[in-house]
Amino acid sequence: MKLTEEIRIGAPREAVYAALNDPDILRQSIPGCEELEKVSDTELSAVVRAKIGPVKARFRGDVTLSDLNPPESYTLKGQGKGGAAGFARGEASVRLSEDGNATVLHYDVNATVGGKLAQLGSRLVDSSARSLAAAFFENFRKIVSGEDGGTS
Amino acid sequence: MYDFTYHRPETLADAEKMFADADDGQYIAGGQTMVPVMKQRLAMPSDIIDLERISDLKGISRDGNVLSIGAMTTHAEVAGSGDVAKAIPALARLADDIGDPAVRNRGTLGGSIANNDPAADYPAALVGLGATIHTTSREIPADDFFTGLFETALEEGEVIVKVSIPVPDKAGYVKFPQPASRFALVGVFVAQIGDSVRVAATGAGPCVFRVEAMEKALEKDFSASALKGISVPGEGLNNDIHASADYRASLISTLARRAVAAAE
Amino acid sequence: MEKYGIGQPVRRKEDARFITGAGTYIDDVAAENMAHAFVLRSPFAHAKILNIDTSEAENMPGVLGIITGQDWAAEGFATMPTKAAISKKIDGSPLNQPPRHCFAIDRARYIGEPVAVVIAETREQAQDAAELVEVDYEDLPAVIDARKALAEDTPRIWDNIEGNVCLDFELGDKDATEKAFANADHVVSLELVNNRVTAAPIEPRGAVAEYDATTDSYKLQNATQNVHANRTTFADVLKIDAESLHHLAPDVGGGFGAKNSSYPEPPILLYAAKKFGRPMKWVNDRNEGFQSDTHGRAQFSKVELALDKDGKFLGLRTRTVGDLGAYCWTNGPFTPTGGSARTQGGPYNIPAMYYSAVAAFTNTMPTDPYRGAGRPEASYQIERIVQHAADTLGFDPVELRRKNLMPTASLPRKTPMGLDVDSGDFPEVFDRTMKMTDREGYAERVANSKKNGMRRGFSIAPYLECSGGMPKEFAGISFTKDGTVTLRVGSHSTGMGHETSKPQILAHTLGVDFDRIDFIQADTKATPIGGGHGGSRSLEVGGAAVLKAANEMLDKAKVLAAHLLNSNADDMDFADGVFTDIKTEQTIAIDDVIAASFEQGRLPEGMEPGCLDTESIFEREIISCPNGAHAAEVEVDPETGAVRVEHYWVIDDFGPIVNPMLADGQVMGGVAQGLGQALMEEIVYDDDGQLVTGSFMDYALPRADSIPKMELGYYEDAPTAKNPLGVKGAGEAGCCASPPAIVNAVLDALKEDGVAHIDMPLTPEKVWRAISEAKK
Repeated sequence: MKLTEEIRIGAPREAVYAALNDPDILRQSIPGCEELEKVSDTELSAVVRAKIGPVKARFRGDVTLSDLNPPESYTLKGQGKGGAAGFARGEASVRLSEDGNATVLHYDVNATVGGKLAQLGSRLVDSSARSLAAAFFENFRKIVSGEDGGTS
Repeated sequence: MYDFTYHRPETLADAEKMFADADDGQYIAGGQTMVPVMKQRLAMPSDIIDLERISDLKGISRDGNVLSIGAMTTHAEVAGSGDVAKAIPALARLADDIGDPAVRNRGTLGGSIANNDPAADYPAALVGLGATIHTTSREIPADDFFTGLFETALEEGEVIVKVSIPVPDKAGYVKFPQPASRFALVGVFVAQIGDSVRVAATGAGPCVFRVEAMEKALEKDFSASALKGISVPGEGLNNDIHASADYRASLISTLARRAVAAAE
Repeated sequence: MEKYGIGQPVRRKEDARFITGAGTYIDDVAAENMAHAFVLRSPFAHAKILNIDTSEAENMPGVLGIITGQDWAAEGFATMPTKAAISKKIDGSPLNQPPRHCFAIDRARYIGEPVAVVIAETREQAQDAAELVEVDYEDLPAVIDARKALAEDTPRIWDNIEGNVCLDFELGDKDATEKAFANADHVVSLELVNNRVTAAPIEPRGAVAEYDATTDSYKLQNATQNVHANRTTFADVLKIDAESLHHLAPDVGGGFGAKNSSYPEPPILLYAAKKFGRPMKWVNDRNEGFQSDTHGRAQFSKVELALDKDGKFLGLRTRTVGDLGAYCWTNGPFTPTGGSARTQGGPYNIPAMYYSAVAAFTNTMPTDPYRGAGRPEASYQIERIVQHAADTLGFDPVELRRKNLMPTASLPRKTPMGLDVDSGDFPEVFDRTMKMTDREGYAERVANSKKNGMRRGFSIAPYLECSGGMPKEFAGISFTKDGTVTLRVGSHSTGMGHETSKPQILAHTLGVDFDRIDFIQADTKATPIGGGHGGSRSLEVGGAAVLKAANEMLDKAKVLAAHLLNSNADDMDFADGVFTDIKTEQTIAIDDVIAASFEQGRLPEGMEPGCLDTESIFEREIISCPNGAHAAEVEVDPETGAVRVEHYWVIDDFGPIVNPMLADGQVMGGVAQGLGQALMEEIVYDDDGQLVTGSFMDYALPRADSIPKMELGYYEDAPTAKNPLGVKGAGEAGCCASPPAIVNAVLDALKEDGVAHIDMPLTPEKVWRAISEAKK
C-alpha cells in the first residue's frame, strides 16, 4: 500500500524537523503508542496498540530514523510483531517545505502487513493504513502547532 | 480464543456497571463480527457483556411517521416485521439480504451500526433515511454517528438503545455483493422524504457517505434518468482484490440509478 | 434385489449418518490421555530462520514440549519424496527435487510452512504458547509469479537450482506440428491462465496419532484420501517399518486430490506421540487450510491452433509454465507436464499436436493434483482456442466444433498425445446436448435479456478426458453365519457414496441383501493394498475389483451349490441370487449356500467353513476416456460485470451408469467446482508474497444460488472394454467441461462489445473492465 499526502503545519520548518526527531512528540502522535523508548539517536523501541474496529493487537517493534537531511527531509521506518495477528511494517518519507511562517509536510507512505492480518483483513489494509497515517500526521500537526494545548 | 469473563445482564444499568468495572470490557450484541474476531485471536477482551437479555433494547414500533427499532432487534426480526415492510419495504429487504439465515437470526441492528463495518448495509439505510440513533446518554443524527473506518460517535461505554427512522415517501436499496463475503462491495440507499432526497453509499469508502450531487439532482427529479452523467470520483474509495476504487465509483452510479428505479 | 441393482438410483446409505451429524470425522476422534499439537507456520513467503527461542513458550501452562526444525533435523529423518508420474526432464536427467523436510529448518519458503510444533494438554494452550515462540526471521525477496521465476535475474528459491526450474517436458510430434502450422491457412493463438485454486474440502485436514511402546507400533487416524500410499511415505520419512504403522481414515469430508498429498503434519504427530508418550491430535482451522492445503491449477499457457481455409483443424501447439510452489509436492510435477499433455486437443480430430512445458518453483504453497489434474486445463485450452478461432475467423462456433470431432468410425484410435480412445460417439453426444439446449427459443431469450439491459451468451463445450490414479485395487468379501456380508475395499470414498455404489455392485452380482452388506474402507489392516481415491479411479478400478471378487466367490459358491443339490457344477446356472440346475430345475438360493458354507458336514471335500470368503485384486491396463458435451447459457450485466449462469446442459459418456443418483452428484459437484474456477475462485498472493485470500471472506466459493439448474443425461451405448464394468471415470468430468462452457458463453455474450478474452476467474470487475476497455 502506497500513498502520498501533504499537511500544513503552523510552525517553522526547523521546529517541525526537530519535532520529527523528538521521541516524546512521536509517542504522542503515533496512534495507540503505549511506549516509545530511545535506544540511540536514530533508533527507538516501540509498543503500539493498534485498533481497527473489533481487531485489537499489540505490536512490539522498533522505529528508526534514517536519510536524515535537516531541516528538509528524513525517513521514518517502523516494524512490529503483533503476536497472533502477524506483523506490520511502515515507512514514511517526509519532506518539509517552507510556506511563509508555516511548513508543508509531504509524506509518502508505504505500508505492508503480513500473517493473519493480511490473510483475513486484506480488504482493510489500504483504508486502515490511510487512516492511521492521516491520524499520525494530524496528531503531530496539532502538537507542533500548539493546537492541542501542549498536552497529549 | 483467549479466556474471558462472560456476563449476561438483564438491565442496562447492570450492563453499564459491568462494563465500567471491567479491565477491558466489550459489549456484544449478536456477536456476528466479535465472535469470529475472538476465535481468530484478533481481540482479547477481559470481559464480554452480552446485551441479549436486556428487553428494553428490543422491539419494533411505529408512532405516526416514525419507526423505532430497538438496538438488539435481529436482522431476521426486521426482515419479518409487518411494520417495517409497510413503512419502509426497502429496509425490510435490506435486512433480509444480510448474510445468511444464521447471521440474520443472531446479528442485530445495534451491533451492526456500533461496529460500522465499511461494507455493512445498515449504515447506508440509517444515513439514507436520516435516522436518529438513541443511546444511553443522547440522541445522535445518523449523519454525525458514522465517523470513519469502524469509527462512530459512540463514547467508551455508551450503548445504543434504539434507532428512530422517519418513514419516507419512497426508498430503495440496491447492494452489489462482494463475491466471497457477500457483504456490500457497494450498496446504495436512496430515500425521498418530502422535498428532500438522501443518497447514501456503503462498501465504497472507509465509511458510509452521502452523494450530494445525486441528492440535488433527485430533489429536482426523482427518477433514474436524473442521475445520468453524475459520477463519483474514485479517489479515496476502497481498493482491494475484489474491486478497485474506480470500479466501486462506477458501481455507485449504476446502483443509485437502480435504487431510484426500485424505490417504493 | 432389483431395487439395489446396478443402474438403480439407490439413495446414499451414508447420508443418514452425514446429514444428521452422526458421522465420525477426524475432530470427533479422541484417544485416552490425548495431547494436542499446534503448528506454528511461517508468516513469510521467503525468509531465513536465524533463531528460534522457545524458552518463554515452554514455560506456559500445559505445555509438554516444542519441536523445531532444528530438533527435527537432529533426528535425521528422511525427506518427503515426490512420487510424480513424470520424473525426468526432456534430456532424460531426473527432475530437480529440493529436499522437503517436515519443517522449514533454516529457511522458510512458503507461507504456512511449519516452523515449530507446540505440544500441550489442550489446543488452546498449545496455541497460547505458540504465540510466545520467538522466531527471528530475515526476510528474503519472494518469487510469486511462475513466469517471472524463470527469468535470469530472479532470485533463486533453492541455491542449487538454476532458474527455479523443476523440469521441462514435451509430448507429441514437434516437426509434424510445425509443418502443419507452416501449411495452415489460418493460425490463431491465445495466452491463457488457469487460475490457482484451493480444494477447500468442507473438513479441514487433521490427524490423531498413537504410539504403542510395548509393540513399537503406531496408529494414525488421518483425514486423508489415500491411507496406503501415505503410510509408505510416512514410514519412510520416520525410517520405521511400514507394517508397524496402522493407517486409517475415519469419515472424510471431501478431498478433491488435496487429501492425496503427503503432508508434514502426520509424521510430526507420529514422532510426537512417541517422544511424549501420549496420543496426539492436530486439526487445522480453515485459515490454516488456505495456507497449507496443496493448491491446484496455476498454469500459464500459450495455445496455438492451425486450421485450413474450411476450418479443419490441422495442428495444435501448447506451451505451458506450471507453478509448482516451493517444492515438488507429492505428485506436483505431473500436473503441468504429463497430466496436462495427455488430453490436449480434447475430442477433436487434430492430426498434429505438440505440447511442451516447464515447471517452476515459486514461494507459494505447492500445487498438487486437484480434481482433474491437468485435464481441466487442457479442456479449457482447446475450447478457448476453438472459440477464439471461430470468433476471429468468422466460423460458427457450434459448426466448427461439430465438424472437427473425431468421427465415430475412427475409433478405436490413439491420439497424437498417445491417449487410447477406444469407445464413444462424440458427434452423437454433441448432437444430443445441442438438442437439449432449446436453440429455437434462444433468439427470444437474447431479446428479453437485451430489453433488460443485459447480454446473453451461449456455448457448448465438448470434452474428452481420461481417468487416472493407482491402476491396482483390492476387494475382499467375507461372510458370517448370521448372514452379514462384509465388503473391504482399498478404494476410498471421501463423500462420493462408495458405501452405496460398491455394495450395490455386490448385491447385484451376488443377489444378497444390500442392507446386510457392511462396508470397510481406508484401513491398512483391512486390505493388503489400496489406491485410495484419485483420478476418477474408484468405480473403474475399485468397482471392477468388487465385481471380480464377487465373480470369483460365485465360482466357489457354484461348486458348493452343486454339491448341495447333488448336481454338477457345470450344470449350475445363476441368476437373481438363485442357483438352478439346468437339467433338474432344482434350485438353491445363495443365502442358503452361504449358510451351508459354515457347516463342515455339508461341504464337499476340499472346502472348509468360511470357504466362500474371497479376496481379489483387479488391475487396469489402460485408463478410460470419459467424454461428453456440456453447454451453458449465461446472462451478463454489462453495467456491473456480474455473470449469471442461467442454464446448464450435460450429456456425459461414462459407459453404463451404476447409480444415476451418485453420477448426477459427481457431475453437478464437478460442474459447480468448475463454475467456481471460471467465475470466482482464486488464491491470491500479493507482491510481497503475503496470502491475501486466507478465509471465505476473500476466497469466493460458489454457493447454492450461484449454481444453475442443470439438465443431465447419459450416453450409455459405448461401454469401454478396459474394465469389466465398462465404466469410464465420472468424478472429474464436470470440472473439465464447465470452465470453458461458461467462459466461452460469457465471451459470446460480450462479442458485440468487442471483448475477445478475459482470464479466469471472470469476476465482476474483470468483466466490467474488459467491456470498458473494449469501448475505448
